[in-house]
Parts: sequence; C-alpha cells; structure tokens
Amino acid sequence: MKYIVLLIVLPLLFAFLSMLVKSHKDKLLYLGVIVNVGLLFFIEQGEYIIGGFSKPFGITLVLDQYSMVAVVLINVLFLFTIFSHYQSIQKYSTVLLTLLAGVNGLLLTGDLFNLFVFLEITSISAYILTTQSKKYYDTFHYIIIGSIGSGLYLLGVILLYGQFGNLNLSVIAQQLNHSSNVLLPLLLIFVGLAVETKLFPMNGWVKNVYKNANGLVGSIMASIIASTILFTFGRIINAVYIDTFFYNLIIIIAVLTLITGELAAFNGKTMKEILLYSSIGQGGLATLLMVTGFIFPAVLIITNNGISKLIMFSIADNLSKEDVQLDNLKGKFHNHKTLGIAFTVASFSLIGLPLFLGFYAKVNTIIGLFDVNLLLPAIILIITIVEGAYLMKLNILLWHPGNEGEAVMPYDEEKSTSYSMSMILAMCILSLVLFTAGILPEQYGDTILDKPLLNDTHTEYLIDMKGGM
Amino acid sequence: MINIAAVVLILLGLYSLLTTQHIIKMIVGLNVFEVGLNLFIITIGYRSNGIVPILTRTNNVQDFVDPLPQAIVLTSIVIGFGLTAVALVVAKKIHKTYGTYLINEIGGKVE
Repeated sequence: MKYIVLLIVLPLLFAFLSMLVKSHKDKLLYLGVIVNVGLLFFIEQGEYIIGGFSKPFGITLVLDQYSMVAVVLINVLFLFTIFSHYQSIQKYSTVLLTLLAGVNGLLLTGDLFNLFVFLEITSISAYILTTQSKKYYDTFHYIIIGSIGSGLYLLGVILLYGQFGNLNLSVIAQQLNHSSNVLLPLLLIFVGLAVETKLFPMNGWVKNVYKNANGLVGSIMASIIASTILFTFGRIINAVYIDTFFYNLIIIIAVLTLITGELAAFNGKTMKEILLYSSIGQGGLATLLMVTGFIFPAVLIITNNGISKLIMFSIADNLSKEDVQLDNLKGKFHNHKTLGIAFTVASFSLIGLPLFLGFYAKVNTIIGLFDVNLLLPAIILIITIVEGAYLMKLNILLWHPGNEGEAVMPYDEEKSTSYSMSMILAMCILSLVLFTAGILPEQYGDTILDKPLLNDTHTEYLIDMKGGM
Repeated sequence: MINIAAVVLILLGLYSLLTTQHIIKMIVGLNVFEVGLNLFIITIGYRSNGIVPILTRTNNVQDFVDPLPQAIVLTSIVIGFGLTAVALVVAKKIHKTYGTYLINEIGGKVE
C-alpha cells in the first residue's frame, strides 16, 4: 500500500490547515502526529514510485529495514516530545508539523535533490524553532552556516548529476565504481551534511543554539533532527563508493568530533552545556560507525542517543531555566524522584552501562571496530570513561543535596508544579523502553530488526537497496 | 564560460559572508552565493545549439537542452526566497533587540 507517502503529505496538509484554524492549531498538531504514528502500523517495506514516472526519472520513496527503524523511532519520539511539552507547542504547531513532514521526507526519499528540498524544509523549521529563545543573533549565525551547508550540498548533488545524468541515489550508487572521480562532489555533500551532523569544524553554531533552547526546542534539535540527519548521512555514506583518502578524512573528522565533544562536555559548567557537547560527541561516534560500515551499532547508538537526549533535555530545561551553574542544582531530584530516576536511567544508558540499551550499542560498536583497527576501540573506551565521569558527576550532584554528612534539606518550591503529569508519564515510558531494551535485547532485535543483537555486526542486511533511501 | 562566472559568483558570495560586518549585507552575500549556485545548475543542462525544452509539433526532442536542471533551479529559487525571508525577519528582530545591524557592535551586547 502506498500509505508511506502520507507520512510526508499529511503533516503538510495539517500544517496548512493549522494556518486557517489558528485557534485549534495545537489539536491539529496532535492529530497530525497521532495519525502519522498510526500509519506506521500499516506501512510495508518496499520501494514506492511517486508521480507515475518510473525509477530513473521519477522520485522514489524507499522503506527498507533501515528507514523503517528510523521512521518508527523519529515519529514515536516526536509524539513523546509534543506530549511532554504541551504547554509550549501552541505557538509552534505549524512549524512542528512542517518539521515532521521534513524529517519523514529526509528518511524516506531516494532522490538526492528531493533530499535537498526536505533538508531545507527541516532546516528552515529548525531556524524558526530556535527563535523561541529570543537570541536572534545566534539564530542568524545558525541560518548563515546552515544555508552555506545546504548550498554546498546542492552543488555536490549537481556535480554528481552532471557526471551520471541521474539524481536517484541507488542508480548513482550502481554506476559508481573504483575509477569514478567523485571526490569533489562527495566532499561537498559531506561538508553540507556535516553542518547539521555537527561534525568538528562545522559545529560552531551548536553551542549558542542549544544552550538557550527550552525543553521543546532542545529535545527537537538534539533528539529528532540530530537522529534524522545522522540516519540520512549514514544512508548516503554507505551508498557510495569512498576512496581511501576520503574514508580516512571522515574517520579523522569523526574521531576529532567525538574527542572534542566529550572533552568539552567534561568541562561543561552548566547542565545544558554538558548535554549539548555530549550530543556533538555522540554525533561523531555515529558518523564513525556509519563510515566504517557498522550500520547496526550505529542505529543502536542513534536510537540510544535519541531517546536519552529527549529525556535529559526535557528534564534539564525545567531544572535549570536560567542556565544556572551546576552547584545551584544540588539535590534537585529530591523533589522530583520519578523524573530523577528517568534522568539517571537515560544517563546510564548514554554511558553504556549494563541493563540498558546503551550497553548493547557500545558492545556492538567496540566488537565491530576491532575489525577495523585497535586504535578506534581504544579511543572509544577511553572516551566512554570520560563520558561516564561527567554523567556520574552530574547524577551525584543532582541527587545529593549537600556535602557529605550534611542533613538532607528538601526544597519547598516547585514541588511537582514545574512538571506536568504528561511529561512525567512520557519520561517514565521512555526510560522503561531503554531499560527493557537493555534486559531483553533479543526481543527488540527480533521484532524490529529481525536479527538478534550481539550477532553479525557486519550489516549489509539493514540497507536492502544500496543507495535506496 | 558561464560556469566560470557562476563559480566566481559563488566565491564572491562566500567572500562577502566572511568579510562583511553588516547583517543585511551578509544576507545579500548569501543571495549572491545562491544566484551563483543557480547559474551553475543551469549551465549543467546547457548544450550548444540546444532549444527550449517545450514540446511542440515543429521542434525535435533531440535538440532540447536538459530540462531537469531548470526544474531544479525553479525549486532552488523558491527555497532561496523562503530562506531570505526568514533571514530578513531575524535581521529585523536583531535590529530591534540590539539597535544595530553591525556584528562587531552586537558582539559586545550578546551575553
């Protein structure tokens, strides 16, 4: 069934309708997202031709296992995000619906130019969302870097078109071989996507945008947009043949991103700073796995990061509204024990401790990377220790109200007022997902990926059609 | 020849983005970058002695220039318009907040 195109079209329709009936904008947003999540039960894997033109000429939407996991993850996370931040969505309903159409398009399209269009839809929605913080200069910075990035991406795509006469990624992937001279177009595409993937030299915008974002915008940027772009990036990188120079270049950039991100997080002075730099680090790790061909661990890392960051950014926003120093947050979880447990579960999963999804992600990552060389697993292990150190420090600080030996003095203010029931519920469900995925990985592996975890880390099976998107 | 002009425009746009301090001029630079890009896309579809790709009874499909880059440019122009609109709104907000369009003056006022 061609339900799949509805995942993109319906949010756009609802976005348009929300302009007409402004008073019910938020209801249309809920309706749009719930319908989209409902559609996920009916979609079937396959390649869908849109507009009646067959494959090399027309646009195709591709739903294989990889994009299936991605679409399910992103739409469900979107649903959780809007439910847990229902107070802040009214003003941004239209933008959020457009964003949903954009991210679904990015995950599904098999056409490189179509991907550019969805990239722009997603970016423009993201620009508008970041104006929420009223730090317009930071938004402007993001707009300039983002539009140069997408401009370079378009230039790369056009050079590929000039060379192969086609825009369909799977067709281009079939025509590419060892003798193809595609370094420049691929480099341009890589640089273009690296802006949104937050890779090392192109991530200057991240700090200011994330630091001032509220819970809604922070979750959307760190969880939904970041995961979507990483999935898209992985698809392109795995579709095309990469020569040794380019391969090494991306690995170096990814490792530098991982190291600088995690070290900056370790030095973070506020909660949001820690989380935003950790997002950069995780983006680098996922990119590293994608380029070395370990799709399955990469999917696990992105899933783990997406869910954890959604929980952590949502909770962090209410805890540190004015982005206060860490010391002022001592013992905050004493009044919010449920959310505190959710936050702790998310951070343990992010570190990769056993019993949580992150453990399987990290184990698969390291087992896989031993095949590449010994240096990469060593770097990841050391970085995991750094990650563990700052997240543990954060958890201890948030749970422990004072210095050792001092009596516990619970805070009077804000008890259960600053968090809505829907948010507490959403965070609990998400942390339960991280936990059950940690103790029953085979269940998740069998149902979602048809493959048990910890088995067959070489992953040709995930992306069925090389280059299909 | 035209593709060289396109590349010059792209570089000119990037140069102005890197050097100017004025936010509106930066947006103009962004537009020059986009125009260069669009011109470059058009040149990809060029062929000498080609005709406009509109099918009539008299013309021959074999002589057409490639119509796809033209369709792409159309989409790209629309996206560029949207982006410029958003950037201008943000620029206006910046002026309202900081009272200036100059980045070096805003620099001291951003916390």
